[in-house]
Amino acid sequence: MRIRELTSDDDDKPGSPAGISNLNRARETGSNLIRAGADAINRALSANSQAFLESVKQQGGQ
Amino acid sequence: MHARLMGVETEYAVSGISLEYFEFNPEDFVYRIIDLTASRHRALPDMGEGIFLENSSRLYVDYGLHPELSTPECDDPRDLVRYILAGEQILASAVDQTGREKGIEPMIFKCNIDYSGTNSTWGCHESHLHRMATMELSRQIIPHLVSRLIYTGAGGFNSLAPGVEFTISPRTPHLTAVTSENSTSYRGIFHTKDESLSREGYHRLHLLCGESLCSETAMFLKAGTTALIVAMAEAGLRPGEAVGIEYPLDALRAFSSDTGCAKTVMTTDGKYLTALEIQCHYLDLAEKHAGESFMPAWAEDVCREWRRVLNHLLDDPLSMDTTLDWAIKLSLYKNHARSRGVDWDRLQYWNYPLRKLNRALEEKLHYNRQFTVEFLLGSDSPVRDEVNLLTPFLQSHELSWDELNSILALRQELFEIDTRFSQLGGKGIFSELDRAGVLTHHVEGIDHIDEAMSDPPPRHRARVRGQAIKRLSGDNSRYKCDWSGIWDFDIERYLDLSDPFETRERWTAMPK
Repeated sequence: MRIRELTSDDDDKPGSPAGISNLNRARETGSNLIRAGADAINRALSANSQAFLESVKQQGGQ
Repeated sequence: MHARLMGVETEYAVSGISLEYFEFNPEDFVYRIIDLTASRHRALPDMGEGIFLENSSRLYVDYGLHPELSTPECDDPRDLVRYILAGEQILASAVDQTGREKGIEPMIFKCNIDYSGTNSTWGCHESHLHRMATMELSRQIIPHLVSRLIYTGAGGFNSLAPGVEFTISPRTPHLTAVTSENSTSYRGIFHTKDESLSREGYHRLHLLCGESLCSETAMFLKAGTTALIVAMAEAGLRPGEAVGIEYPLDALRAFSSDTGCAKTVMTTDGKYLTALEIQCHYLDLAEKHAGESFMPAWAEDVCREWRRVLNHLLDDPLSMDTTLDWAIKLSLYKNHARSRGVDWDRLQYWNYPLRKLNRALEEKLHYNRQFTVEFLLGSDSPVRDEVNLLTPFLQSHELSWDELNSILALRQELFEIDTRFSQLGGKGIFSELDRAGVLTHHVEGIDHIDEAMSDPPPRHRARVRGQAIKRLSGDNSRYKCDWSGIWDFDIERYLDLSDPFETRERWTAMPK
């Protein structure tokens, strides 16, 4: 069983210039996600979560 | 190469905020969605109160007054995702218009779990056409269904727990059997219902253990990997034989609760394997046989994406936090808790005392999940002894009963966020993130969504059905449609679509 198969992504070893660049890109992507997520959540949240959840109540379903 | 037919049916939750003097009436609302869709698209009535659309999908009202959409039969997982997305655009547009007509602000979600306390769920069922014995297929595919959740999990919370228990697959707590024929209670990992909706010789694997998803990568892999395993099982390769799981339900719960993807479970021959190892076993086999005649033409495309995702999960599961539903949610929810002044790890410490208190309340009051600090700590508290017993545990983790009200409020907020994550019509949290360009979930080839709103898939009976609906729509009292045919009651003829690979429109005398 092969647990790990090298792909072209693995050319960017940790510590190499490309690896550091990828790490920085990942950090930037992660912080962008968190920032955009927090904005989206703040816009989406109602003032009364309990009342919201009651309004979406499932009657049946599988 | 061998074509594999597959489809997905999804239950959607609807709700509305009443504006001015209008009141939200779910029954009126849901049936109006169907009528409106039928008036905007060419369609024929089905055998009940639903419709088949010109793109060959089916829209109907399911038990519990929610809309349900079934995609047409597709032979490529990219097409399947395309038709899921097209159906959702049709539905979201009809919901919007219905809301305007009825004076309400409408909402529609594909949210899997009802967090209001009903313990209900919304299903997302998968169908795969095959030609082998159902129980033999169950042996070969159950290890896949148990372990695939590391990329197919929708993410969310255990709605049956009184605390904040994040789970990779929130449907898992609602599955209580390994195999079962039931769909509304005592649900199984493997559903034994075998209604082929086709002529003799065909079977339909009907899975209800999966979840509706937002990520294209997750939807594509859910359909593609499962279809490949069905193909290998049908070819006699016995793909699940070497990774049979001794206790599948326990394994499902173990994998679902492990966001590090490192837990192992015991196999029937005494080995201990992680979900990743089980998935790698299936993938190795699929890669080895990808070019063979019993495999579909897209097998290599799925294997490539499957390998890429498993490699990322192996390196660091949270590296998938812009790609897979559960990992995106986990990042967002941790941050939201932090924004409310609650550390995620500290939040988990509350699960033990909340479970203990809930159990004590159930024993004393039979059932009561609504409790506040005032009630618990008051002189009349029926669980005062339990509170006293748990206080040292709280102190040892630097927690205090004074925090409990804010923890419970955060719990409700997280449940609301989880529901709103998948809101359709561009208003959901996932849609906002996608528009902001911070996600990496798109799959090449999942495109032309607008065309899929009106055109059927390019092959097989779904194409024949869709083209017939386009031509016959407008005389709805004359025709009725179902998956295996169209009835013309005026001249008593029948379009036989019982062959799922039908290529031509063949009308016959109406069956008695």
